[in-house]
Amino acid sequence: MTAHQELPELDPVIHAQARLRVVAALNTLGDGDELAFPALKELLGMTAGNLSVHLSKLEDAGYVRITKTHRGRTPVTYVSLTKRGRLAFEEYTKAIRALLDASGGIT
Amino acid sequence: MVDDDAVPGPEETLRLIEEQRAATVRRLKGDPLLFYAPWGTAWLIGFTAFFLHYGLDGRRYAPISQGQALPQLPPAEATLIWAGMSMLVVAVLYMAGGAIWLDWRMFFAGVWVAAVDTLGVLLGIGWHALLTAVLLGGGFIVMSLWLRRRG
Repeated sequence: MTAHQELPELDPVIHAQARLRVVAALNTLGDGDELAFPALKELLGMTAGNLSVHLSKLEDAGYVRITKTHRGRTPVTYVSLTKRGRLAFEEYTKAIRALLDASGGIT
Repeated sequence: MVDDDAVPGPEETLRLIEEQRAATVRRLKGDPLLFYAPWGTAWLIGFTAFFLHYGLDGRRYAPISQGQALPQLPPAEATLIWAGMSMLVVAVLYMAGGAIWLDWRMFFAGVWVAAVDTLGVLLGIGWHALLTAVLLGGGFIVMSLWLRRRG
């Protein structure tokens, strides 16, 4: 019973497979580093539309920063994880590990 | 894979995170197999040749012809200086790289090269060549495969 009360809550913004993968990918970048939208899209194997939807949800939560700029005449979009997003991902993985421990899963 | 609602269990989730991390690192930082294995292969071949040329106790197993770089010194000592210094530079560069990119595995590779190099220089040219071929040449090949498996 006590174990149930101690179970952490999972961040609903990250707790969806597609967004989890977005955040996990961006988390490998250094602080302040950005990834271009097409590169992220290709890396995750998502369609542009699908990725855009998830990115805007993450942006609304303040977890990612989306920078739109121009290189010459071509518009380019860069995506990066905010400090808040990084922290949220850290908390999320901590919570998942806690869940695993609580369920007596493999170490 | 992009189903919004399909959230796997905790074990599966951790595996997913790890897979994504590995795939991203491989893509952005390059394949570890290409990063370490070519050096390992080169050292394995080159230092095995040195080892066969000089042997462990002065008896040569398979002499090979080679240029004389430091004419003031006997060939064995000249070779040991060149080989020892070269590996020391490699060690320092790996340690510096590991420190700059905060990659402890790269830093450890540098420490490992420095340790084997130092031991080899103390033991003499034959041992230096043997240890470098096996522990550094072979070691880097094994490390690249291990890093690739782990991602």
